[in-house]
Amino acid sequence: MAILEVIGLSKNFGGLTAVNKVSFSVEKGKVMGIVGPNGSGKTTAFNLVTGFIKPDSGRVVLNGEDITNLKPHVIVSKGMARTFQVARVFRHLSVYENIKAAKLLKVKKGESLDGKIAEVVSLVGLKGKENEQALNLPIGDLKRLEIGRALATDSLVLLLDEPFSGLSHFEVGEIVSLLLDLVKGGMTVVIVEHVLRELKRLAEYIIVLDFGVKIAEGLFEDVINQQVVREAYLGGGTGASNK
Amino acid sequence: MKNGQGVLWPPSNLFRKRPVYSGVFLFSILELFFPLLIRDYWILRIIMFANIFVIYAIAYDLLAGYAGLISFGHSLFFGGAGYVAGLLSLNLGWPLIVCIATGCATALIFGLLLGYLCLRLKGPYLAVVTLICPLVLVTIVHLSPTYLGGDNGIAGFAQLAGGSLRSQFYIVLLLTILSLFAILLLAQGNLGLLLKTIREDEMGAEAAGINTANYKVLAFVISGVFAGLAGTLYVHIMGSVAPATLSPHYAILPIIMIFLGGASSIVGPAIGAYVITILDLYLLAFPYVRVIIYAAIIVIVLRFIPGGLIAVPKEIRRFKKWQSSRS
Repeated sequence: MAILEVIGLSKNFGGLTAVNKVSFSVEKGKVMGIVGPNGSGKTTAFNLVTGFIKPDSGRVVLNGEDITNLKPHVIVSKGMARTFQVARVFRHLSVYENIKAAKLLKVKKGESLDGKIAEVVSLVGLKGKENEQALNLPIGDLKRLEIGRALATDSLVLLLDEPFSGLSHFEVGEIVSLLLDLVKGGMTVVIVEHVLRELKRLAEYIIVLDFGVKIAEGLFEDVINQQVVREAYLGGGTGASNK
Repeated sequence: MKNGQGVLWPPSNLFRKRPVYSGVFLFSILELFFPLLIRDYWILRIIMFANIFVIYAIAYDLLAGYAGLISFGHSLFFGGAGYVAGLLSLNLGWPLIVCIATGCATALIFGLLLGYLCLRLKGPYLAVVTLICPLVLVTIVHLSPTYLGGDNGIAGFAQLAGGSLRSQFYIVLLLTILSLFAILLLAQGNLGLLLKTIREDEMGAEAAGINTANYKVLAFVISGVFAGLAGTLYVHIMGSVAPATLSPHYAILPIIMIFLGGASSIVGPAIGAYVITILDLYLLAFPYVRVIIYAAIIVIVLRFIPGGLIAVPKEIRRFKKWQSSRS
């Protein structure tokens, strides 16, 4: 059963169609990649799905429930959390406080808040850095912290916007294994990324956007070898944009 | 709250590791003896006014320091609540406690209105809108000399405790201590953390599942009510209220207080309130010099001790460490 379903999502900014009738669905416990060259509408699609921008048309269905036009924090409370391209952590707060802010409203009666926070902190591998201010963390830890904050909201679906940008090869490996662990635990993950080499290790199923239009969809290997996808990335005589 | 940790309650433990709160506590106890120790009428009166401005400054700190919503029109609450309390007392002769409560309720409504009005505003836009609001009220007052007193304001209503300075001092002190601890508990507890996330990154806060709109309005309301309390106390001690209480001067005062004392620390702004109130009353006769001095204070503090007076011990420790690392 599809946990997240996006049907005919569109958004115009003035005369520019950033996202044009994009549809996709993600199965529970799977990893899906959204790829495409710069400016292809990946991040806008993300913002539409998570409620940060209101779509002009189309629907978003999470777990059988229509969540189109809901506010971002309501969507988070329904079980879908996201990260940002440039980590939007709370810079002047400690790692502990960053996680606590997200966990605060999620702790049930009788559960220990501190225990739950410690659980998340060790899960994302930030143990021992609880009292560090976020602004002193290296970028790899910031990405972990942001994933931790998303996990702290008890999310079922995780939307990651370029989680590998700015990371070294080694750091990427660590994040990938963290994500693989999460998926093994039943988490559903959607990743926007244009570093295909790294995405290959995670996502078996991808969709490709170009100029806001979904131009291809399918298993990673099949899609990457399609002519339209290669043209979208590299340019070509009959580029997808000219169709 | 459906389940789980309350946002407003329980608060975190205040005295656990912060000697500065014990300091506040000691100072409050010391002030209990001030009316017995200090014979000078004016000095006692100035300390009382300082306490009123402590309430005003810490209320402002919750909004500006914690939630990062720097309002340039907090005099809307201070003067607005003051006017309501004064008018009720003068025209209807209600008991003072009812006038003060109604004044605070008015501030609450102002807080809701201004909060919703400013939901999508940030930085300079927020500053401009909040700056305009009390000025609109001033204009209304100017246009209505018969009912609202016009330029002269209104005078001759009941004074707190019948004008007895010693009783006034104790009433104000009690309310100051209560407000100080109430706001400290809120700010150091979960509410303070959630407000700080809005200051740090509003989109990030939304992504963490925090209803930023609600908490922003809540910050305006709580801050407004306490500012209103300060305003009503102020006018009932003066026995009069002038349009000046709505002026930008009274909106700038808490801003200077929190930056001088150290924003988002509650105790810092309380210290700042003492320094600025005393300075303000001594400089009353030199309105232009006053502005220059305040500007100089802001520039010097932000340049040399951005953490404010409350950060001075930390700065000294850092300086000593730096010195010893050089030798």
